[in-house]
Amino acid sequence: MNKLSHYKGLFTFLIGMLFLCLVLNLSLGSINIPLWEAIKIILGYPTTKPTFEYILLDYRIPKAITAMLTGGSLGVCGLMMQTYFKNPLAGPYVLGISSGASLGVALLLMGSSWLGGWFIFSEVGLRWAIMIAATLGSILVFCLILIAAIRLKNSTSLLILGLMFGSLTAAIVNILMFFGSKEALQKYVFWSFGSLGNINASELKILGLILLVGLSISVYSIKNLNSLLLGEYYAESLGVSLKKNRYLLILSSSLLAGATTAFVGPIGFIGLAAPHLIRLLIPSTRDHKIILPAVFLGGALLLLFCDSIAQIPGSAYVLPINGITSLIGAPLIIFLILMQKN
Amino acid sequence: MITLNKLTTGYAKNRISKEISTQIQLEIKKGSLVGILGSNGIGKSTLIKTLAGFLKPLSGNVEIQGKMVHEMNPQQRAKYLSVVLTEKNFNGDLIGKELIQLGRQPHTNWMGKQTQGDQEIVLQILKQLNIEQLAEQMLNTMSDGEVQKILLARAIAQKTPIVFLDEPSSHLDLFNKAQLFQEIKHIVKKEKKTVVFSSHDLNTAIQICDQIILLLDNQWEYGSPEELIEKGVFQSIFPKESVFFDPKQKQFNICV
Repeated sequence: MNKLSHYKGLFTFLIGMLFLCLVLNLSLGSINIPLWEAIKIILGYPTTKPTFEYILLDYRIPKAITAMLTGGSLGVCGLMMQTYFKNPLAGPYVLGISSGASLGVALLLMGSSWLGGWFIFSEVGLRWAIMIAATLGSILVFCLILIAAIRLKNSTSLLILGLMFGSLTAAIVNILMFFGSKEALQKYVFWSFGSLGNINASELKILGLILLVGLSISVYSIKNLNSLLLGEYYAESLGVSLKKNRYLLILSSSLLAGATTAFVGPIGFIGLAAPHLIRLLIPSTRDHKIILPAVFLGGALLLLFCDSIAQIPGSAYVLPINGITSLIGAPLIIFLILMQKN
Repeated sequence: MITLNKLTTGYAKNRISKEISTQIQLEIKKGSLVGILGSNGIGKSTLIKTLAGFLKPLSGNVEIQGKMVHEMNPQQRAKYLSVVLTEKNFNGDLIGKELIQLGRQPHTNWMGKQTQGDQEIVLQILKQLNIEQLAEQMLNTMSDGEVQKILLARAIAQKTPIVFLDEPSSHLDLFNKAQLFQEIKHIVKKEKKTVVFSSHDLNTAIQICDQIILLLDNQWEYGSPEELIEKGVFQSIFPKESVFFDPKQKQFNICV
């Protein structure tokens, strides 16, 4: 379809904004690092302040990379779901994969508190246990969705099913919370705030690898996603094998949404808002060869921006990222919808 | 060439199957325009969807150039046949040109990259159908007639020897209908494509079709319009007190 070069302007804009936001993000925090110093450290120049270097390299840069990777992945995941379900309200969480992650974490925290044993985990041990529980929860829902998907005829049924799985797991989490101890509840609530900053370099590598696999599948699906713009019958007549495509999309979105939720907790609205934002910026094409990479950049930009705000410039507080993304994302979508009407 | 071998269409659900058309046995020649006619709910759409491979036959089979349609995978089928369907749940934000370009998908690489050749084909079809002004227009701002032309253009762009159209002329006024069928007639003649369409517009079909598949309750007829008129099958489609067929004028008239 349209050549990538037609949209050079868009990509230059997005990458430029991303870079600006990155520098801003790195310089913000409880200790202000001047913009110039931040740029120098990123580019590898020697710095006079080793503390700045330590803060940047060991904390802020991994956090910024996490924000960009997960933001971009959530955006791409949301785009795939919106195209597949032909529903602008679909997002990365519609298949219920992340609710599965929440269920895993809730079971771990509340369940082990019944056994009186959550304290056996050290801080680090608990963090890993949470990630593993979230992953197992995601995989559980993924398997259920897959089994159901074999029987289902159309995408609408899958959408309803995903939402139902989400509601079911949320209900179980609610009941668990009712019986959970105060400490466990607190830990669960903190997890549900989401956190980009808890990831160290080795965890980041694992997360990056999983997201890379998920993103590769979504790139492989670009052609099919374009055919699906015409609906499932037409897509099939253009050579898309609907079942295989459905499995690929479920797998990809599970990897993207599941891994993100497991490593940084639930992050709302990015996956919903990024595709809308990009579609508004380029109304002249629906070609996923253009839209998908643009949405990745858009999602990365959005989450990085939200993270910068969550730092509250000049204060030691870090606001819960999940709250900030919703606080920014929801008005953004309202704004975009109103713009469209005109 | 399309061959229907004792084809029975219908729906199978929970071991209860509902047969719609039974034991159809016929051959459609290459380069002919064939209409599937019949009253509402008689199974025209089901037959078209079975021929195009979307639905599995309850029994019998469909062969296209010696190959069973239902044993082909979607990629193979996409090279033999293209479709225009009544389902219009495509993305309304698509612009005309982009929709037509999607017709080239079966011929593109794994990313769906459009080559210079693909783009030229699309431009040429836009010109051929005289719809260049729709190229940059969004689908949800187009009229039914315009959408139908874009969909036909997409099917032509797929460059398949066979095109199936499900009710292509419903919702169109007389002028748009005439234009659409002129275009269809043109691609049958010029490009030697085989076009099969379903319609409940009997008068138009009798005028333009080479062959007609007429679906009736529990039976079917196949032949050229003249043969079918001679056989007198059109008289039996509707109750005589409402609609009657005039063999001299070759058209149905409403009793008033």
